[in-house]
Amino acid sequence: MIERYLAEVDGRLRVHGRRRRRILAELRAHLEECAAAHGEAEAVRRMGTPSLVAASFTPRPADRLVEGRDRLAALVMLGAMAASLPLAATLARLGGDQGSRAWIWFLALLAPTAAVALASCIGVLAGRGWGARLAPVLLVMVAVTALVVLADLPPAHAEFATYQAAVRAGQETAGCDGRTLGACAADHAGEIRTFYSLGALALAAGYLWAVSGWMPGRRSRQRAAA
Amino acid sequence: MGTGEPRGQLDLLLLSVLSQAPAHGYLVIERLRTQSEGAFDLAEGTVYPALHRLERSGLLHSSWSEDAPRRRRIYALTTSGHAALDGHRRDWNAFAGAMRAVVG
Repeated sequence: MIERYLAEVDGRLRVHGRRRRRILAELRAHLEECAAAHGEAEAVRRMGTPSLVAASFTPRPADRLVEGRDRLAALVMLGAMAASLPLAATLARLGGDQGSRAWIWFLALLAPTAAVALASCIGVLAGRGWGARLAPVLLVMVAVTALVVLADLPPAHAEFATYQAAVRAGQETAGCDGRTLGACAADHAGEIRTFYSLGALALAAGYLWAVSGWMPGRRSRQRAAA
Repeated sequence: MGTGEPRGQLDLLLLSVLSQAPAHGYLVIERLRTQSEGAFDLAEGTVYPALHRLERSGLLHSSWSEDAPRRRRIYALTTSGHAALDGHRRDWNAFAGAMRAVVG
C-alpha cells in the first residue's frame, strides 16, 4: 500500500532531481514510521491524498515553472540538436562533393556526445533520475569535443580543410560577397568552429544547471543562517 | 478547536515545536497533535512542503540521521529561525491579547 501511494505521489510531483528524491525518501520514512505504529492504511490516510501532497510542494504557478525548468531545458537541447542537423547535412554534402570521407569521422566524433545528449533529454522528459545524472557527463563530452574542434585537431582538422576547399571551389558561396573565396572559406570555418563550439558549451552548462536543481547562493544562505 | 489546518500559523507552530528539540517530520506532527490535544489534525504530507520552505528561507536546517532503525531527515532551528520565532511569538501574543480583550 505504501509503495502504491508513493508511486502515485511520484507520478504527480512537479519537482525533479535531488529535491524529488529527497521528498520521496522523507515521505517513505514517514509512512513506514507511522505504519509501524498504526498500520499502513492509517499511515496512508493520515498522509493525505497523493494529489494534495504532490500539489502542496509546488503551490504557485511560478513554483511549477521553476521546477519545470529541467524539462524546458531538455526541449531546448533537443531543439538545438535538431537545428544543427542542416549544418551536418551541408558538411556531409560538401565533403561528398569533394570526394572526402572526413565528414564521416567528424560525425563519428560528434555521435557519442549527441547520443548522450539525446539519452539525457529522454530521461529528463520521462522524469527518470539517470537523465539528470548524464548531464555532467554530457558537459565533459561537449568540452572535449569543443577542444578538438577549436584546436583544429583530427578529425575536425580534415573536415574543416575539406569544407574550406569546397568554399574555395565555389560550392558554398552564401555570404561571401565582397570577399575572395579563400578569405570567405577561412572566415566561415572559423565562425562555425567558434559559434558552434562555444554555443554547445554554453548550452550544455545551462542544461546541467537546469536539470541539477542547483540554485545560486542556496548553500551559502543556509550556511550563513546556521 | 476542531480545525484540520491552522491556516496562516503553520510556520509559527513548526518553529515552536522545533525550538523544543530537533526532530524529524513524523515527530514534529506527533508533537503538534499531542500538544494541541488533537486539535491540529493536519494532512501529514502537507507539513513537509512547509518544512522545506522554512529551510529554503534559512530558518531551519536539516540532515539525514542514520542512527535510528530507519533513515530520518532531522530538522532544527537556525539562529535566524530562533529570531523569527521570537518575532512570530510577539506578533501572535499581541494579536491573541487584542482578541481576548474584545471577545472576552
